[in-house]
Amino acid sequence: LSIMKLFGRQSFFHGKSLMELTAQLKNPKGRVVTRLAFERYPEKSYYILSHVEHGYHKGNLTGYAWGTRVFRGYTFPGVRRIDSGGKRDWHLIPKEEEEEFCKIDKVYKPNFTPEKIDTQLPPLMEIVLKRNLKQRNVAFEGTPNLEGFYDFNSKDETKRGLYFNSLKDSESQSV
Amino acid sequence: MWRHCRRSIVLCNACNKFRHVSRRHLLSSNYALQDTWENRWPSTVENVPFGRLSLKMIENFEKFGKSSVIDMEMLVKSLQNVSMENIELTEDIMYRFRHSDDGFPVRDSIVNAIVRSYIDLEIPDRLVPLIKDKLGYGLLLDNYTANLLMSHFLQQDMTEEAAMVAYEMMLQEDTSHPFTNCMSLYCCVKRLQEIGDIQPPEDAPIVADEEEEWTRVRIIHRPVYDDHFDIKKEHFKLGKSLYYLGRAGVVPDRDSSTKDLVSRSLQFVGLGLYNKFSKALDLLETWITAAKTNNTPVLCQKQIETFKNHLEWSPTRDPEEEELELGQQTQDYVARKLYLTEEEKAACMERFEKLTEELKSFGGISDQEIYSYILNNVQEQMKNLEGQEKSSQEKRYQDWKTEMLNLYKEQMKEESRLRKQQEIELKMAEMAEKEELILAHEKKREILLARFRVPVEAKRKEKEELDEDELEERMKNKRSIIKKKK
Repeated sequence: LSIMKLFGRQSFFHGKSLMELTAQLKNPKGRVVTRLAFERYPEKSYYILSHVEHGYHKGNLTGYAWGTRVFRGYTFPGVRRIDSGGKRDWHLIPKEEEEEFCKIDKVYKPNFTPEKIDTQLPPLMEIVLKRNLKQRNVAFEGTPNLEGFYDFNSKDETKRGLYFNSLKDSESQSV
Repeated sequence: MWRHCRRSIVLCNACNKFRHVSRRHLLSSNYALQDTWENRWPSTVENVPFGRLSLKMIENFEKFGKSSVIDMEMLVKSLQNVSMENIELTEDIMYRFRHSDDGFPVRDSIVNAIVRSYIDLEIPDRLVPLIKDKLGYGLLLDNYTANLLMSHFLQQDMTEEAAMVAYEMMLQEDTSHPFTNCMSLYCCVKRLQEIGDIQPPEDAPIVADEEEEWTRVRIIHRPVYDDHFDIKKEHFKLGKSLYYLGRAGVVPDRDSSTKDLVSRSLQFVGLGLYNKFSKALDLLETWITAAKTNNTPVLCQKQIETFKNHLEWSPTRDPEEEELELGQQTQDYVARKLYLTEEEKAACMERFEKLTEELKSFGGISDQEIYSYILNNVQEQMKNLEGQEKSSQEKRYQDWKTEMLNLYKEQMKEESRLRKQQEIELKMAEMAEKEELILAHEKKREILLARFRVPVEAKRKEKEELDEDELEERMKNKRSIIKKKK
């Protein structure tokens, strides 16, 4: 017998795909599922599954899963679709450890205030805006900013997944 | 005369099916619900014979990649008096059905019918590897079929196969049905009595001194061992299911002291078999602190002995061993990283001996024999719970009947629609041809012009392979022509 030795690129992920896990379960409703990539955050993040659909495409198991999301301690309202189910990074949590795991201690609160964020517009956009405002004889002070385009003081907490290329704040959040 | 005899033989065979089921000692004869099962097929739906159906389904799988659900139900219905080749055919069709769009999830009625027909044909051994391969075949048993299978195996004294079914039910982590809990406890305890005191076989060594075959792969996926679905060793599965059932509290509380004793000892033995010794010893400490005040017994002698044996037999790993490259690692290699080192094992042994001495000091060890107590208790419980199961299952058979009718009607609608579509397309093609002939006189000029507008393929001249002599002659001819022109 000869041994199979593989060589190639190493994968970043340690785990199984969501579809493989849920295909072996008769009742995936209510099970808790995490990705190992969420361990880089100090707060807890996981998904509680509600509904799974499978399919086969050219011999590969594919599909989508739906569930409630808890990301860095905050539970998002409503049931959302999980798009990253195909990544081989998922782990099932056994039922006896669910209670301990799902206790939320800390919640991450992003602070998207204009003081902490670089609110410059792209340079061409600035030039064009200034020109347009002059033509229409609109008075303005200073240079146009992101504050005119994004409501920083909104209390809509679902808008937490935005990515800002912040030079001032190094703790910017990514999706 | 001959026809009459043949039919009567067939009827006798039909009546004698499930005769062995009625002689079960665990479940009553009515549990199989033979009458409702024979009448589960609605009368308006046809009964297609096995050979024709299977061939048609394989055609559908190759052409379209899927075959409808009602076809699968019909096939499974016609699985009576079938030979061995046809059984392999059905397994092939099951595999393809699972790999189609309708195979997630496989319906409960299909699984129920497959299991029952295999039991009738007296080949339930073939089912066990199919049930284990969940991704490939998808036979996720519901509670009723699991109970039937387990009781059948126990009656035939095939405790190994019965325990395999119990492990699969445990992996779903669903203890809401008390009947299946009792049944699986029965199977596991019987298996424990056989396997508990035998040393498990040693692992195969990972050999690195043989020929190596190199294969190029785009990405090397890491081999993953989750401690749940990927467990290969039987005594690990046994231990985990015993621990799980002990926690669920299957044995009822006639005397609360024996109930606690039984659950604790089951959990302890389960964790010993599963090789999670530190977890078991942590649990033991909490039990001792709770029971010291009352001087109640905590564990039984037999369980402590089995735990000790498995502690001694547990395999160890070398922490200073070099890690293999990712391309050479397998799932077994990753599983061995969970073993204890020799230091940890020695520490566990010391801790275990301390705790047993503590137990002996206040009389925490009892000499009761648990296994026979559990088996009797569980049998009584099952007799009380049978009535509920039967009534609920009868309702489900009726529901499946109506669903089958609806599926059949939908399928017939779709087929008639497809047929009409094909007829319409044929008619349209004929009409187009007739139209061309009728209007040819008016479009004469366009037809003539169209000949010249057809795209012409550029003809490639093949290169002729000439000898030197022929080349010289050609050159001479060319020069002569050029001289003539001049």
